[in-house]
Amino acid sequence: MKKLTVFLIVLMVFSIFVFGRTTIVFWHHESPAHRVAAFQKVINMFQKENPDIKVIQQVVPWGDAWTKTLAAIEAGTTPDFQFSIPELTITAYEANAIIPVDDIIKEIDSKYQYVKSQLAPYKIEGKYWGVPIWTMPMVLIYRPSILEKYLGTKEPPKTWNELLLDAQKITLLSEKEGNTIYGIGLTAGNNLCTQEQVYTVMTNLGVKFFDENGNLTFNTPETLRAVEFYKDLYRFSPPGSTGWAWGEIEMNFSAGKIAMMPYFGGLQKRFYDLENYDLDAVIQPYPIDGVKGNLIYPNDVHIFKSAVKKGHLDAVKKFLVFLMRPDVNAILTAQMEPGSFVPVTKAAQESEYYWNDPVIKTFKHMNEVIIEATNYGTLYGFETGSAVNLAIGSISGANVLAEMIQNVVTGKMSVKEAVNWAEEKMKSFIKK
Amino acid sequence: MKKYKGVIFIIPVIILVLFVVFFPIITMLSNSFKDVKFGFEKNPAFIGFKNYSELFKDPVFIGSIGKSFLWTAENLLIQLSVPLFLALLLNKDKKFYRFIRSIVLIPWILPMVVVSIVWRWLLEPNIGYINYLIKSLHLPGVNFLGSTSLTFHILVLINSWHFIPFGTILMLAALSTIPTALYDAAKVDGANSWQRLIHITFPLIGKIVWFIGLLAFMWSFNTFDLIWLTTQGGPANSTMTMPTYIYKLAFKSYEAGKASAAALISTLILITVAVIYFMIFTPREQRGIKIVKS
Repeated sequence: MKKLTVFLIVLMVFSIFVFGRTTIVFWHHESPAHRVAAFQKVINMFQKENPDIKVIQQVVPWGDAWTKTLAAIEAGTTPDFQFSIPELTITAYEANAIIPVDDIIKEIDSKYQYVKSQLAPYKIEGKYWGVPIWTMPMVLIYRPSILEKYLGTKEPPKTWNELLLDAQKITLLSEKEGNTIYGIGLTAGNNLCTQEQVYTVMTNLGVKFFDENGNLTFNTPETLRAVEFYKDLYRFSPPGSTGWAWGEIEMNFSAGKIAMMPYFGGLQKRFYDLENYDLDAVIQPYPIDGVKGNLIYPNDVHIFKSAVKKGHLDAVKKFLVFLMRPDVNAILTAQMEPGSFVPVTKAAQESEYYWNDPVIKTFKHMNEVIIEATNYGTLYGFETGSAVNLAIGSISGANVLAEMIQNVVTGKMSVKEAVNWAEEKMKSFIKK
Repeated sequence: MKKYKGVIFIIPVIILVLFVVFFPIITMLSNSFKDVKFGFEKNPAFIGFKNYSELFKDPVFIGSIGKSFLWTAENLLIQLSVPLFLALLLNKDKKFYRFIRSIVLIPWILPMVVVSIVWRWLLEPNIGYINYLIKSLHLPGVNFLGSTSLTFHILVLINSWHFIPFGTILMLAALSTIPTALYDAAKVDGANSWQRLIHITFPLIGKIVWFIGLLAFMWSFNTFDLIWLTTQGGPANSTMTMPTYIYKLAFKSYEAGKASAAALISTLILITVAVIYFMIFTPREQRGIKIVKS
């Protein structure tokens, strides 16, 4: 009898593995080895709890994400789901390749409570098409020691005026000493980094790309004022930042050549590894007649129609809900990219799994600020609470904001001309 | 059967060329007349010459044509003169020169991604090594990659720096084919080193110079990786050459139809210039090649 029981158990396990195991495949675009390892850690945990489901991750670098997604849609070879950002989800939506995920959002929301601002970019025509997994808010990060040395206080600026004056003071005083430290780090390269910094400044005046009906509302006095302020502030940013992207600005900040900059919190990992704790953050300063605001980039998962066809939908749903469990979500956020990837649910944001991570714990105040920033963040084109104009994907991809700022800081155009130019460029994308 | 043997052997190559050259060109031509966003939509609308007319209304595109020619001209100038000079300098059979000849290849071995990143760091205005050297001489720092007037020429120098070793090795190979007896005879006849250079060296390495010139022209005109990895065509489009512009249209703005039109124009320019180059600069002895049947 005992032998028979053992035999039956073995047979059951064997048949689960051989016959009843569902294999789901997903794409993500986080190619660094430690990110792939974090994904695998989560997959292993899931498979242990769900032996009937096998999960396979496939890495498609960000540079190929659009072309490979569209090619796979065209060829009918899409994975079951993929990690994404709003622009890519819109592309997949436009290609009629994904399914609405309202039921998953509802389930996660009831269990873990979504931070509502994070859902906005994924709402198209009343339905959700992406499940936010983590987000990336921009805050003003700074070096307290530099502030203390040149401003006599570790207290960071809270308003635009204070920010401009502090940046000027640090730059001029350090210049006098013969070792210039720039008060602010702003880029003006033709890239996403510039775009995100510019937009963070714009949010402080409530700039909106579109109204609720999807009409372009970019060229406003608020936009002009925000660009003017960026231009003023840029005078205290290092020369050469017209050619900068992520690498240069991070290097300069880490080397102590920049005192403050609107940026993501991810540098804390580098500082932690170097045992340098001279790093903190504050909510992006705003004008006295402005609002708290910053750029935020929620990262989601969208599910392809192929998952439904293959009968994989339940397994995919199970996996996505699993990803949002606070202990699991902490692996994808605190462990994978502390400070850069931030939880999007209240439960995960308050979870001990998140706060007990050694890096997060070390820069506790900074991470509290970053978590707070998730409440104020918006993303260009999605300010009204949903995706109202799908041309935003092309506008963002073409780096229109970055090119506009390059034109301003290089003196090629006045602020007014540059904003006009940007609006015309946006119109041309909308027309298409 | 013997008659068709050659044709049979050449068929795989013809098929390959059809797939990798003609098929993409025909697709590009077709897309350039259609309203294509990503490049593989089903049944996109035919819009005639709209993509072309929009291109010629865009000052960035017009500027990119001019910049491509300037880029090619500056690169050609450096990539033909410096390798020749270096080859003449290194064309000596001594241990030291042999050593130099082997290390001169290093830039050529480096992939362009590495070259771009290394130079980006070296030229970084605040913490880069080059500005550190400049500032240590009490000179003002230079904004190498963020200047609308300077960056273009800096990129030309980096691109040429990468090409020069290859050109030098080819020139050295050409120089080694010149019989020393010719120089000896000229010396006996009283020719000085300048005369030997003009009347012996230059005519005899003409074919190689022609070949390097052609390669340098093609590669320079099509340079994309260096520009994209350093400036992405900026600042303020000052380094926006045609390949960078086309890439940006196709993969950043998702305007595959317009990008196809721009790519076709670029291809036509390249073919036209190449034909002119062949007609004007092809060495006389190569123009008259005859296949002698045995």
